[in-house]
Amino acid sequence: MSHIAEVNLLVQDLNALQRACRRLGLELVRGQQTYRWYGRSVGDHPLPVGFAKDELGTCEHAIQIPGNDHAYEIGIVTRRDGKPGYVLLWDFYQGGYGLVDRVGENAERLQQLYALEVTLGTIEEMNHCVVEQNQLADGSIELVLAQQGV
Amino acid sequence: MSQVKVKISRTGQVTIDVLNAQGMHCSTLTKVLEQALGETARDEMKPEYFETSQTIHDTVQH
Repeated sequence: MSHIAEVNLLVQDLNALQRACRRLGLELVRGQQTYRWYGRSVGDHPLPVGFAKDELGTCEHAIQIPGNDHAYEIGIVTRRDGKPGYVLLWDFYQGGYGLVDRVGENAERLQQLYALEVTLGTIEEMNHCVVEQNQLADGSIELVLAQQGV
Repeated sequence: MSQVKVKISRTGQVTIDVLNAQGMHCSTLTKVLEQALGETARDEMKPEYFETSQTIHDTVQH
């Protein structure tokens, strides 16, 4: 059927997230259970849904800038709002000392590249290919897909 | 030939648009993509889906 769908991104695929990290020169470290941040919540922003103050700084996996022991890191933690996948937690105080420059405000650059990697991985499994890719003026990435061999 | 256009905004919001498809020739690709990417916020039929139904209806009436 012909239709149009809008999808709110949920980070569910660690392999795709790892590939997105590589595009930004970041490293996803599986099993890293803490992430570098300021160290305590000063209460100036609401906590993520389902998380307590004393849980900040702990994670299941982490994203770091390789070779940079000063920059803050991103914690990857299973969501606690009833939705599938992971939530990304990071401290943007002082731009995370270089982290925000890499991932963008609100980690938008990382999330966009994650969505791109999920799309590319999925279409390969579904025997489709990219016939056109454009970077639009508003910063969006546009892909035109078609079935292979048709 | 049907095509699928995927637009990924700067914020990671994704829009999936099926082009040149009519009737119930649904690409399973779009459903799989929606599930892989996250939570579908809006899912609407495009005019050509309804145009096909209307054509059949008109033919029967004539």
